[in-house]
Amino acid sequence: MVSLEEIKKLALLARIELGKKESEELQKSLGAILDYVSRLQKFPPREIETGVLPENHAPEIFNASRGDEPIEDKSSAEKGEYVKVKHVF
Amino acid sequence: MSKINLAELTIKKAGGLIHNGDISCRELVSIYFENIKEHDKNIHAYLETFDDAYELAGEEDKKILSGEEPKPLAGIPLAIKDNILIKGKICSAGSKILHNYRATYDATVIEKLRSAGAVFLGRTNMDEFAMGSSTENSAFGPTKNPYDLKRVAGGSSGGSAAAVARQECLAALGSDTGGSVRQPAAFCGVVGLKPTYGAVSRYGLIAMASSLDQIGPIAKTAEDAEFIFNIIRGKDPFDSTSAELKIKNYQRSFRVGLLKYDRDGVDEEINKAVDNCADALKKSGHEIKEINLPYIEYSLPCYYIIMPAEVSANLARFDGIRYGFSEKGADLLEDYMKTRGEGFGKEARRRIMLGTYVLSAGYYDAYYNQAQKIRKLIREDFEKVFSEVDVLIAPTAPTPAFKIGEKSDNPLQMYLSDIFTVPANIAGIPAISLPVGSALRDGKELPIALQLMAPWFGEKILFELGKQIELNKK
Repeated sequence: MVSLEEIKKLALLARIELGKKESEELQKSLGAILDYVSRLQKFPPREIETGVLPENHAPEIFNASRGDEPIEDKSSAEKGEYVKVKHVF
Repeated sequence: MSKINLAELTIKKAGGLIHNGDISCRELVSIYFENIKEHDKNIHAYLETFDDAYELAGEEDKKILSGEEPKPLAGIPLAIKDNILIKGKICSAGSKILHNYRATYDATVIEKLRSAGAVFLGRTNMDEFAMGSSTENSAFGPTKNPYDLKRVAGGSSGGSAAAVARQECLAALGSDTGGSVRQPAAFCGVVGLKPTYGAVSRYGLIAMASSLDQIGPIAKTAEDAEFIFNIIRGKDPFDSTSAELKIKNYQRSFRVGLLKYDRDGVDEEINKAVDNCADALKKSGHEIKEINLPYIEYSLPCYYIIMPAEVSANLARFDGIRYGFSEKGADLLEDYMKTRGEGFGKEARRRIMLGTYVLSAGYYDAYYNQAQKIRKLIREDFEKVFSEVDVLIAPTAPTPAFKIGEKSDNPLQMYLSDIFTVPANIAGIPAISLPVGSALRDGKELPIALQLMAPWFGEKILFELGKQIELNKK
């Protein structure tokens, strides 16, 4: 159900290094689990509103984040006006 | 100091002893530490014990001696699951990737227990990031069942349940995402509560699946569980899903729904215990009605889509830069790959992969979106049923504790042991597991349990009926 190629792709997406043995094992176990959960797909695709969290008591919150204003925060890995991180590309 | 029978001791009794000056908080703590020293090498419930428990207990003693009214939990020794932050202590979530992570603040539940005078004896073992039903997925070795050391304590809060059962603490905190408080409580013969989603703040709980996680107490009696619950519950500005409990009035007799389920998939003794309990409740004046929930059988497949999806998102933060464990590679990408490949255990890797799959473009609608729709139907099922009955009764787990290693090579088999506990998380309702007897396996008496489920914020019903079931047992 899941190809080894897909496992490799997923591992890269998930940022997890996998050995050959585990990739093969995952191919089997993910296949079995996906097979099991696929029974949900037999339901006709009728319209069910899922926009609201099932937990209806959570209060609505608007703009809980602070304003987008610069603050004085000297990072230790700072260089001039920049923050130093490892090469990304 | 009089000899205390720890097996009979409850929070209420211990509180009375401390109140009357029959025992000091420090003495009580030292009795528990002696017990831990004697027994924990066999069951491995604790990952670490805290020496400062003596100081905390001593402080409570001083306050009591100076004439202060003892706080509600003064000197009560508790154990805390290793995914709940205690300021200054290591909090590893049973994972190598956080093995050296020290909490920088107290979780809200810890703060509340602390102000109530509780003393924390240590942090308890768990399946890594609460993923598992046996504590075998801990990076630090499994916890063993106090009733049979060859068997699992259940999971993921196996350490907390085993510690309560083996008298290594008076009560404990666990977390329940799909049954992780109730199933180990069932396997270890103690009481475990999963509160309504939002009843208890999760600020300071290491997140696993955020639409399902709840912190809950594990204790020896329904009354003790209620006591702890009433201290930790309530709205918290640091958890926007938390809410104040609206305690409803209730009658003395309830309409009890006996859940219809596939009896062939459940051990005989457990079926019998459920029936006996229903009979006893009927005799004491409750109305019993058989209840069918058509969508409940889809809870488990629904759970194994939604949970890994949320896991894959929540665990993305463990990148080897912000927390603990780090493996270096040639570039940033390799840093991530190596850190996460080595830092996470096998089950955590599997669930992250599964979550990544169900959320990826092309599969999102077929899996994740579909699961959200079914989740809504399951919730509606419960809404309808709770207009007909006040509470539901069902098994907690299909079997008593299984053997160590029995299911560890078959993840799907392991997942199926959550079949009765997952629906409450999917719907967000509260549920409690109560010990109701034992079953003989390989010459050992193993605890068996049943579960009560109530409508949203109906915890009070669970405690009241739980106390009645405990009385009927005697």
